[in-house]
Amino acid sequence: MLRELGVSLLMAGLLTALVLAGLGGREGFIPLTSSGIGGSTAVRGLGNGTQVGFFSYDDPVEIPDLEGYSFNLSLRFALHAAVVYYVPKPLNASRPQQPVPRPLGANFTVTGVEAYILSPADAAKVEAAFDAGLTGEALRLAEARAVARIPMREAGGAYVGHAAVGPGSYKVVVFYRYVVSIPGKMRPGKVFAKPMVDASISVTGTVSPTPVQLFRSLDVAGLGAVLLGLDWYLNREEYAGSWPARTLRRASSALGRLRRGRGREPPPGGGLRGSP
Amino acid sequence: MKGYAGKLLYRVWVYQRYVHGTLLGGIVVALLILVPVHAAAAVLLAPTVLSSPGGGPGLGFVASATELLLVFITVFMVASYAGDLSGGGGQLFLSQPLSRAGYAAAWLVATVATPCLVYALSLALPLLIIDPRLLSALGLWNLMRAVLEVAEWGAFLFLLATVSRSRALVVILGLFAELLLPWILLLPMALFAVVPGTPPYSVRVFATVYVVLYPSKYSFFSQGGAVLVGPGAAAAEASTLMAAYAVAALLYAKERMEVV
Repeated sequence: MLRELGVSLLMAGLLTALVLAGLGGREGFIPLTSSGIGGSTAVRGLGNGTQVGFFSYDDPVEIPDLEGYSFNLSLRFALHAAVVYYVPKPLNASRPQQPVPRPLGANFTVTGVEAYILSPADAAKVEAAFDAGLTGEALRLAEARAVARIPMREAGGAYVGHAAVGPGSYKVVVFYRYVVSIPGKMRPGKVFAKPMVDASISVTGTVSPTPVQLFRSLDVAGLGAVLLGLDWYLNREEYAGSWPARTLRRASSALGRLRRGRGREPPPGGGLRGSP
Repeated sequence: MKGYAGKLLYRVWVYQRYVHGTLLGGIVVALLILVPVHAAAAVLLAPTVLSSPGGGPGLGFVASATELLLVFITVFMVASYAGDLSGGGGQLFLSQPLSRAGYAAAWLVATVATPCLVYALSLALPLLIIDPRLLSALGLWNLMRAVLEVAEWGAFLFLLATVSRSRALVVILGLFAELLLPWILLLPMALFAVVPGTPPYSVRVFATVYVVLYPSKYSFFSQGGAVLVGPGAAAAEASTLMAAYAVAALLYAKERMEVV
């Protein structure tokens, strides 16, 4: 039992250290969470002709506190805006029905997308400020309270960004600025913009074995080696000689001990117990 | 009395050492497979284990797969005990001052307890090395239910081997009971599962017996009140059954076992 326990501890310690070293340092190799959502976003005017859109990822992201692990949060944010410019028809007194506006094409230009990683409480405050129409205050709060600010860059028809995050619970909110330009000289009308969002978030981890982890594996392996050493000290005769001889020696040793009771002295006549 | 008991225990200890020595090769091969698989799974799933309630299902799936190896090891080791009984190996040692119960106890430890212990260590030690908090996040039940199931069936097969001394019977019945029977028994319960509402009492009793026999499949019934006992009670009943099989095997060995 001592020998089997020793072998188990020795092999578990050494093999785990090898696996940790082998898998260590590979970027984004360990998946933690991945989710995607879509929908419309709230928009507000910023006052200088620029509009601001706001989007909050539904579920909080939970990053565990784990020894030797680091995590990277990646965002993908695709905007699909339906934008039209309505030119109202003059009211006709003879036709009481609502006049049907004439839609015209308009350009929707995104001027910047930024994501903020916030604690769930701060994210709720930012969302409340935005919903109350305090766009500037919401932006200021997000800037001030953010754990990380991710300027998103355009890639493949979407905006992407990533940031390293430490342990904790986070919510991600995105602000994007856009302007709507009406082509040519048009009569006064109303812009209708409904940006739709297709967003995804993923967190991946990288393990870099720490000295403490390696010491722990060596501790386990060392304990196994001590147990094996103790077993060798107590049963030296079983370890001597070549493999087939050792098998016979083990049987002969067991038979001899059973015959004699306690003690490890060689049986009379030597038998298989002598040196080969 | 103390000296006599000490002598008996010493003889069992000497013989179990010999039996363990003959089975050590299989244990080393098993460790060479189990530890890297469990360690790699632990590295990859450690973040999920800590961030999901109850440790998440990931590591449980890996343990279910590696449990198959434990099943094979245990079945073939118990079969080698049956072979020792029928092949004359036991005669050699029982001609020495070693009791039949002591002989059976040594084999029981070597063929059932040791593989289960080695498997449990191969699962728990990588988690301990990566981060000790992983062990408490997973919990004893999630870690040990596969071990408990194999130990329970291993003790049953040991009793069967002691009574029948047939290697073939142990291998065939062991693989059938541990690999096929749990899925066959799920079929009638699956028929009741499609009916909405709480299943009839007889089905719940059947499901409870099933989780006591196969504790590692408890998660199949953890929702909807399909079983009458919680995981702790199922584990306790499975342990009692295991102990009953082991004691029955030792008593049979002491009173009735014939070595030919």
